[in-house]
Amino acid sequence: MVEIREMPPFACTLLQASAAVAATLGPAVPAPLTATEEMLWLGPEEWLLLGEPGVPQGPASLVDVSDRYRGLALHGPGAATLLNEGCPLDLADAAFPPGSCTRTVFGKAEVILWRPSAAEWRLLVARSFSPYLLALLHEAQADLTPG
Amino acid sequence: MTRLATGGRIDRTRPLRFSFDGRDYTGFAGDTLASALLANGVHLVGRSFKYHRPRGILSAGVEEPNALVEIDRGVGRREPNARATMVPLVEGLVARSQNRWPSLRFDLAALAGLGSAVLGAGFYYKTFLGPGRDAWHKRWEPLIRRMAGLGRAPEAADPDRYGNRYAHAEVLVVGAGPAGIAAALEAAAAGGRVILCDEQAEFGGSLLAEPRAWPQLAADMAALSANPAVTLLPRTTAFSYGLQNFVALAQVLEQPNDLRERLWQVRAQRVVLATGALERPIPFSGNDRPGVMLADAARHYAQRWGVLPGRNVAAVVAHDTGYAATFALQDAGAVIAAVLEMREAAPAALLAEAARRGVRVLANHGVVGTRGGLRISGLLAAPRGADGAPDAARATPIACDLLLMAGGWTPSVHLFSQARGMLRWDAALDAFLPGEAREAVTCVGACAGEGLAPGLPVTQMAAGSARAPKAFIDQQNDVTTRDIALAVREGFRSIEHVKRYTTNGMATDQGKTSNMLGLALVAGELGRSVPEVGLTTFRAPYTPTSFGAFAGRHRGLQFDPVRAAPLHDWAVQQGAVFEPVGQWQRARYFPHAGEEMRAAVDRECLAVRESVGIFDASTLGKIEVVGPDAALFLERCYVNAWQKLGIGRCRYGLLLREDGFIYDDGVVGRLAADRFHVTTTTGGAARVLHMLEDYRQTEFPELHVWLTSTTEHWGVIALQGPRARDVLAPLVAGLDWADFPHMAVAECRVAGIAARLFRVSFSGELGFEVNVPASQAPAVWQALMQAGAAHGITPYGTEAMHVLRAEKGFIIVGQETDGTVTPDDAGLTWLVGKAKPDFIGKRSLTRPEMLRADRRQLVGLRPHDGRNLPDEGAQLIATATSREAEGHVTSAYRSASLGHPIALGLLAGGRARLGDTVFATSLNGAPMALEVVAPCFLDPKGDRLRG
Repeated sequence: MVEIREMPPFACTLLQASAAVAATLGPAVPAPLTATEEMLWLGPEEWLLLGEPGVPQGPASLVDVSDRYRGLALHGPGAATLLNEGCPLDLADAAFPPGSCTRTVFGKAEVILWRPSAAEWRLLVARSFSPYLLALLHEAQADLTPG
Repeated sequence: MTRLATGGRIDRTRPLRFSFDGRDYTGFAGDTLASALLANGVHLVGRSFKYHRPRGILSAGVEEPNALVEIDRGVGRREPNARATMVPLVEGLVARSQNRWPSLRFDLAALAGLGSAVLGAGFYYKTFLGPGRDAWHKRWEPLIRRMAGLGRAPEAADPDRYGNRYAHAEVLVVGAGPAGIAAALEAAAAGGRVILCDEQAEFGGSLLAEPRAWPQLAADMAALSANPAVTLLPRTTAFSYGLQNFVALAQVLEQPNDLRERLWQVRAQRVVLATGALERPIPFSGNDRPGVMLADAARHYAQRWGVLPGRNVAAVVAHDTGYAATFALQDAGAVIAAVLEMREAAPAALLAEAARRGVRVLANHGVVGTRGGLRISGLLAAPRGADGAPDAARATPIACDLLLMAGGWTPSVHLFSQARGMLRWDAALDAFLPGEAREAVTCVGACAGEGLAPGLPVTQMAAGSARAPKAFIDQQNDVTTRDIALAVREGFRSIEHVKRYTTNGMATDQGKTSNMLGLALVAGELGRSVPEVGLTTFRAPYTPTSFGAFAGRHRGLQFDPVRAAPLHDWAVQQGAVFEPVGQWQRARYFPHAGEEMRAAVDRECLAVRESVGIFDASTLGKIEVVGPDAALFLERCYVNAWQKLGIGRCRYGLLLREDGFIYDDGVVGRLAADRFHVTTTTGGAARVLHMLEDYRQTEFPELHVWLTSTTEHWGVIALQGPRARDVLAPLVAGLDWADFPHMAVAECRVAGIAARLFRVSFSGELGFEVNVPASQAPAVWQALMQAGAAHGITPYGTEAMHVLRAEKGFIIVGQETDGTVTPDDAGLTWLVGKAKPDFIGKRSLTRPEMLRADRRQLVGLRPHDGRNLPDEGAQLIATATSREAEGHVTSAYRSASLGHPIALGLLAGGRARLGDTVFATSLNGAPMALEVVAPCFLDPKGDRLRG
């Protein structure tokens, strides 16, 4: 009832700048705790750009971190329940609607949790933590009661 | 059989076989182990903790102090101290009694009971002080642990799994009795998520003993379970109530050999506590005999489980509810021998009903004692005297096989109190009730005193009992009324002290049936009121909670993340031996077939010195510092000068704390005017980033500079040795070798992959560190291995890395430093930018203490015997007989390149003592003589770096 899929590698760039400078890059800057297909809000003055970054007009930090993360995609109606095995956030629609994005933890691993749509959840985790995260998720998945 | 032909909530069409102490019995679906044992006429279920007295089933619920059994579900699944009242019966259940030898019915250690007059409160403290030192630890404690103690802990690893679930709810309702169910229905009707949990396998609480309420109960539960916003959690105990309505629940799941338990960590906007109330036992001699039972528990056995726990029933009653229980047993077919009413008189209506039923009520009576061996056979009833004690001289015997105790009710305020709620004493109800709350919490039902009527006050109920022998108040810890009185006589006044001295309420039931009696007795002895005596603290967990529930899935390989660097798999294939460095697994050395560690490390070191070695340095922390003020930011943080560092050049950076002591180190390369590649130690990566981020945000918010961790983005391959350039150069494109001296950095391509190439050395040899995206690191490594084959390229591990750097006198933060080492102590004054106006720790370095000439300074140490190694951590002393430590050995290795052992150490005034002899202490021999030398043992001029 929950499908866990490892995402193919993806290019990404960490952007840190004032919101005004970030806006000069092109894509609409997502509001706090949200993400778009181009840009994930990670924190104050901090975003993860997917794809090729533009040129900022003003002081900014752009750092290629494409190999820092591994991505997991979770599909299925039990995904939020599965995530709550290790993530303490309220993931109900009202609290974490589609489009939400935040940094949080799963067990002892720090993760970026992004919900691109109602049915899909993505976890970005630092590369060396991904075996740990996958093992925990797969064990918990097996114990998820159907329904 | 004592099972009734009809009635109860058990399913008589589903018999279940089980065994207790090797004998086979049959119960029904819906039974607990306790109800099934009683249905088979088994009252004797355990032996007591201290005196090994025979004990039976006192209660029908969570408060059970006696019926603690071992449940055996196979290897690694043996659970000690399970309360038989809380274990749902399943097919094939195997249960055993505990704390008896050779058998439950004949227990030799019960002879201890004969000496119980000398085993009173404080017995251990008073008796086992001698003879000799350590008598307690070496002699008495092991003996007593064999004698006392309850169940056996399982020895094998637990094969079950334990889950975790974080949950959020608008309302969490704890307890599914009538008040809890009503609260859940109300919360569900208001919308929002509702969690209803109950420790029992079945919802209903007290309603489960009210057959008339069952149709409505079924309808209510159907309505709740049909509501998708409601989560129903049976067999789930709310055991801990933390800050901001964070409540921990332990859920026991159905599948016995699969997911065993799940820990729920619930954050609720509002918590409703409907935790009910517990019936109080009554203190009298022999009140612990099997067949003496809480009155309401007996009513539950009859009405919920269709079990008649006795046919000839007596009751001792201090509260009206005792009559309902007595009448219920009579309705189920028992003969009522007598009701001993402890009050002057029962309410007229109850007396009238008793008369109508032909039940004899003896007013103002108490129990002098009970008769019987392994089960009660009778009691002595007597009128209560002026002091409240029954007058033994006027006692009359009454035969019975079950004695009910109705001592009134104690609201379960445990969780409310854990949530820092204030308790208030309600004199009318004679109970502590929830008072001012500190959380968004509501108490409903019996735990709030709702629906409870007053009975005989507990102090009056306990009056006179302090002189009765073997009148137990804490049945699990074998504490009697006399123990409490003795403690008070010996000067204990605080209830917390009385508790610890007597151990009253300190067993696994945490005094659920004993605390109020203990308070009442202390109050009586001191002539104070119960609220004046006070209350002991309620602490989590409410009931014993398994270690498995706390550990969850964090066990075995998932205990902690095991981080593997990009070249980990290759190293595994090569047969590398690994060592943990923080959460990382790093290759320590690469032994050839049959090769010992020492030989492998020597071979790896010599390869680097003579030709070329290759090393996975990916775990080094990496931080990209970017922004127009990047150089200024580093200038303010690190001790070094950065503004003038040229683009494409590197510098060894040193970071201090505010106190001036070394915090971390690492090479920093300047990639552009506004971009630096900072490396940190492997272990320091996270804390250095946090520290720098802290300064960036709080001290220097005006700077345009940002920090990004790139530790995981880059795989790092170190090539070290005189042949390093020969191996690397053919694979490099886009690099001007003519402008690439030692301590240079350039962006180029290596084996076709975009790379950041550093010319740096942690070995003292010509060296390079190739940074490529982590996913590309294995391919680049392979290319370098192929290119190096002609030069005998040798993979080396962290052990050789340590030896190589020690030969050069390079420090490792955390090995040569311990949080008390300044740059000067480490011989690194040359790094400190003297002209800089400030950097983190600068002011501290000018303190007089930091400038003393006799500070412990880094030195090299060369063993006189040329053969043996001093112990790392050994104290350095000036003479072989000195008792004064003047420093310690920080590192010690065999050096194949030098042909003798080497060591580094911190020695008081060390730099002025070159050529002196000092000694290193040894745990297993004479101190070892060492010559103090400069820390750099090899190529002090650094010619090899420029090779």
